[in-house]
Amino acid sequence: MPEHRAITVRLPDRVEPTSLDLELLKATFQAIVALRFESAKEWETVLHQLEEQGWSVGWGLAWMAEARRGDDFEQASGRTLDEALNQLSQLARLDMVGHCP
Amino acid sequence: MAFSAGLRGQYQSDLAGLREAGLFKEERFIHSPQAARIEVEFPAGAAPKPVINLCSNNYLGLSSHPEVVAAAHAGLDARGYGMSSVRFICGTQDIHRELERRLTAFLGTEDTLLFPSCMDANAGVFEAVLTDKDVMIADRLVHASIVDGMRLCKAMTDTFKHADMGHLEEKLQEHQDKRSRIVITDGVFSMDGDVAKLDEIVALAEKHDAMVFVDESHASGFIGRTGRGTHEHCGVLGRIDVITTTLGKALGGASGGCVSGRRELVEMCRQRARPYLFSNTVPPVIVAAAIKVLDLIGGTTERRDTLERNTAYWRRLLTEAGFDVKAGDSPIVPVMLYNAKLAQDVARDLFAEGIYVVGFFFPVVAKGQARIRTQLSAAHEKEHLDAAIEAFVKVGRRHGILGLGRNEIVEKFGL
Repeated sequence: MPEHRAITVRLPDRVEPTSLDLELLKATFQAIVALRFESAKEWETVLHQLEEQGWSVGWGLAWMAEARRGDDFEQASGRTLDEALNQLSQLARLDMVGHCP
Repeated sequence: MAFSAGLRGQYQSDLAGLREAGLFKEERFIHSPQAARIEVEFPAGAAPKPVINLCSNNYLGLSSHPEVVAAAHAGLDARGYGMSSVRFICGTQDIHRELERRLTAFLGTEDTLLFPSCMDANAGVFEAVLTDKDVMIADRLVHASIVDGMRLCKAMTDTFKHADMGHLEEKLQEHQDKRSRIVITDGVFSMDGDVAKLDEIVALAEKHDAMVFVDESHASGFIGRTGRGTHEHCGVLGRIDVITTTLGKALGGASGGCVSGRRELVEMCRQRARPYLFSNTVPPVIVAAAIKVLDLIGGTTERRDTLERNTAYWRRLLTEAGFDVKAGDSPIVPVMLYNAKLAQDVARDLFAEGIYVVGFFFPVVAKGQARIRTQLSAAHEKEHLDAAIEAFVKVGRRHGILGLGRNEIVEKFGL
């Protein structure tokens, strides 16, 4: 296994990063790596195909939230973490009980 | 072989898991028409046992009514068995149009569209009338079919706490930036039997420029002075934008459902609702019988009144006997047992005593809310209910639950 290459960023002494800060940094670097190394830039082809078919396509990075409980699975995305988690919460609430005919 | 031994084993394991969790649903075979007294083969292979039925949605006792059955026969003779088509190709007969007009008049709306079931109506309506610029704000206890319909729709999903008007108003204010808002509720909630506060919901919706959607499956035919539904009961006839309901409960009990409401919304369903567009038409035999049902309940409120009397009588019997009964006026009368095993044991013992009821527990209801849902019918005679309460008392005494409230039951049996 090749060693993982890493970038270490020294934080100023008085900065105490929160778990959200760290999550944001991780997500940002993951996004850069994904965009930089995506094989053959297939996404551009797909994008052009959709536009040729008349779709007006918007795209961007988003938060993804997932919840799992046993076999139940819910997934939501949003432009902000609040938006993604709120949507996830609404989906989970709709499944609160199974209901009866 | 695509369905490999490994895959088969996986499904067998999943099914075993359902059995172990007590969630496996077993069908009971009924050897008689639907009625207050039926003959049930349970477990499979056992001799059919005569029992009093306290768990059907046959609220008005019309499922096997001789005039309804005769109308079905006549419809079969006059218009055939099937249409072999969806509605918009060659599946719409004159009687479909007639039934839609009759339902429109009965529900006090502008137009109606039949669906194969209310499940299909709920699955199709939201996607047909809403877009991603809109928001759906649903009571948290709406029926599962509404949840499925909401999931199929691109509009934003939001919920309000069950019957909490303050929370609903907060949500309506929060979503003022959307193109349109729709408040979604059941008319009568199927597990608790409580009636939606439609008058307050309509007032809030009008104040905050929102549409109102009501599923009237457990209300059409018997809630309200003339049985038109929750909107009649709450004094908001003509002010509901979308009503869905079923022909599979009080209105004959076979199958079929509808979307009824504002003309333009119904027309959008006719153009876009996928369960309508891609399912076969409601069979002529059901349409003919449903028209007869509307004749019967349009001429007199006798059946609805009998159901109301039966409900009041049954509630009184249960309460006086010391059962913990959910308050309300609807013919859905839940006997609260809280503990899942207790609910199953009581239902089993009642069956042995000749009373057919079903215990419900998580995930059908919330954890710690296990119960037996009893449902009244206009077909019940006083003797049925008297026999039923005798059995309930006998079984209740055996389990030592008479006179106990929630805390005592939980203390004794756990949750």
